[in-house]
Amino acid sequence: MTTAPPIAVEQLTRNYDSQRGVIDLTFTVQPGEIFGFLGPNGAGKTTTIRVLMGFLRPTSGRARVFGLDCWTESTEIKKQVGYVPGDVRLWENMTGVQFLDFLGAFHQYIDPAWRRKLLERFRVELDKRIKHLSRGNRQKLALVQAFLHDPPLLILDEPTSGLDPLMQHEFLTFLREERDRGKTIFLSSHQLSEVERVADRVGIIREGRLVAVLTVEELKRRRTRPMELIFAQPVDPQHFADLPGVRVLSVHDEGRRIELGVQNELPALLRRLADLPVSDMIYAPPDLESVFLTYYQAETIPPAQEEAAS
Amino acid sequence: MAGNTVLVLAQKELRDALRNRWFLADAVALLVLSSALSLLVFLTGATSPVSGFGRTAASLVNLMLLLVPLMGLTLGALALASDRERSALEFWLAQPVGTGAYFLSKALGIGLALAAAVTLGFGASAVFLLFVGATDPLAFLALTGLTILLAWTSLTLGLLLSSRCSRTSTAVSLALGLWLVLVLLGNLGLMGTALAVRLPPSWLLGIALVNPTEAYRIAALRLLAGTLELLGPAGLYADERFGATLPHLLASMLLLWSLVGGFATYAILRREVLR
Repeated sequence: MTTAPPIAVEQLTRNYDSQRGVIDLTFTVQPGEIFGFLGPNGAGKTTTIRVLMGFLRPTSGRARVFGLDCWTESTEIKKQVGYVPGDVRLWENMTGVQFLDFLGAFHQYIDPAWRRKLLERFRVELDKRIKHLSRGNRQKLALVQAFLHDPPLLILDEPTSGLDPLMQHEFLTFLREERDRGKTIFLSSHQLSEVERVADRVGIIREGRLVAVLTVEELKRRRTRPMELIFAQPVDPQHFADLPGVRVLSVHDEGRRIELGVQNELPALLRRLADLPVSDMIYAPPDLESVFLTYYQAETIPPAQEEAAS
Repeated sequence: MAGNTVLVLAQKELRDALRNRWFLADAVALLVLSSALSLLVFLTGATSPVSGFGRTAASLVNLMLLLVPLMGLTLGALALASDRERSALEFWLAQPVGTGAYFLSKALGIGLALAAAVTLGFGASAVFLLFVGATDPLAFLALTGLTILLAWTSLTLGLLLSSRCSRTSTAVSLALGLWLVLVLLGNLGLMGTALAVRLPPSWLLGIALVNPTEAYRIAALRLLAGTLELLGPAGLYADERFGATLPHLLASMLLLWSLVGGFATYAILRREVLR
């Protein structure tokens, strides 16, 4: 086994004829970690993955997996990688067994006990033709094939899409177990909660550019959650100006409705709210936008905030 | 491992091609029409076993000229574009399969299916003609081989078109367009040009041979009739210049077309498989 990092991307740019791809990405994924690759749809996650898998040639920069060049040495790389594409479409006329046997034939050895364990864990329907399987069952089949040859690196593009909540939970637990067995997992997702639950570090991508790479703890500490406050009477937004980790995002109805961005600094804010005529409050669970609020304040603040600022 | 990979993939391609509706419709048409032609020609015109074979084979050549390029081009066009369109390509490519193995297995699997269809079409006629005692086995075998070469040439041209398309509808439209040009418009255009410009026979032959279906037609006629008088000055020139080696030369040309088409497709795929 090589000592090179499982994934090393340096100043990677990939352009399309008519679309933006990814621009100047640089990051490294360490052995034995789950690296969450977080971004909204169209941010460039799939393009990055396709470059890593050797499906697309970089326009400039370099992408390496275990020290091997993703474009010129992709066949060698794929022996060590399990992959789930973002859009799982399988050969519809095959049964589940045929599908797994067919793809298994490309690898030198598939441990029957490991295969059995995967099938039991994910409760995959094997005897039906794939065209008769539900979306969730197809997804499970795709997940099993990725882990089938027990590769040291997994590259998973939105792997939980189509799974029911129970199976999502089961799969994320399984990912943690695999990480503990020493596997490296590159997990692309647009769901913050999913990434927060399993990832060790997170790369955030938006509009083709890598915004930040940070640990999950840092992410939780730094992300801004939106809080919407409804007041019985107009409230001056300056009430919140001196609170640490709190900023006013927008002000509506002359101060009867105020949106705040809150960075896990609740006690002082709650004390301040106790003195104000609050009639309702919405504190949504953290989502991807709440992360971007941290990094894109100027872009995400609607024009109404200017009212507050003035 | 690489050889095994190609084998596994080619088997799958062969199975898929044999289930493909386009392929099945064409193969059945080929079988039915060739059998019907053999029967019809023999019943209406045969006065001797040899002339019966010659007339049947000549009719078969015309039939093959229409159907075989259509089969090869459409199957080739569907092969790569449909993998892209259905996103199945990502599963192919995620395996330790090089672009060369992927392409080779496609070409092998579909090429074998085409060869089977052609052999079946000719086989039906051969059985009938053997039954009535009118078959020249060697010429029939040569004609079958030549037709398989035509099928493979059409296949690689179809694959070449497919290599640039991300939608099957585009790829099939292009294939049908090319079929029209090769089988119908190319011939008419050549005749028109020959009349208008009064090309010398050597040029006429040279231009005709750019079209692989023309190369097949000329080789098949030479094989069956022993002379190319029917083709006028270009035919006479070809006879005089190349003599009995002409069918071999033309068969090599078809093989060359297949190889060039194959390498060009591979070169495009090597550059980038996904679009």
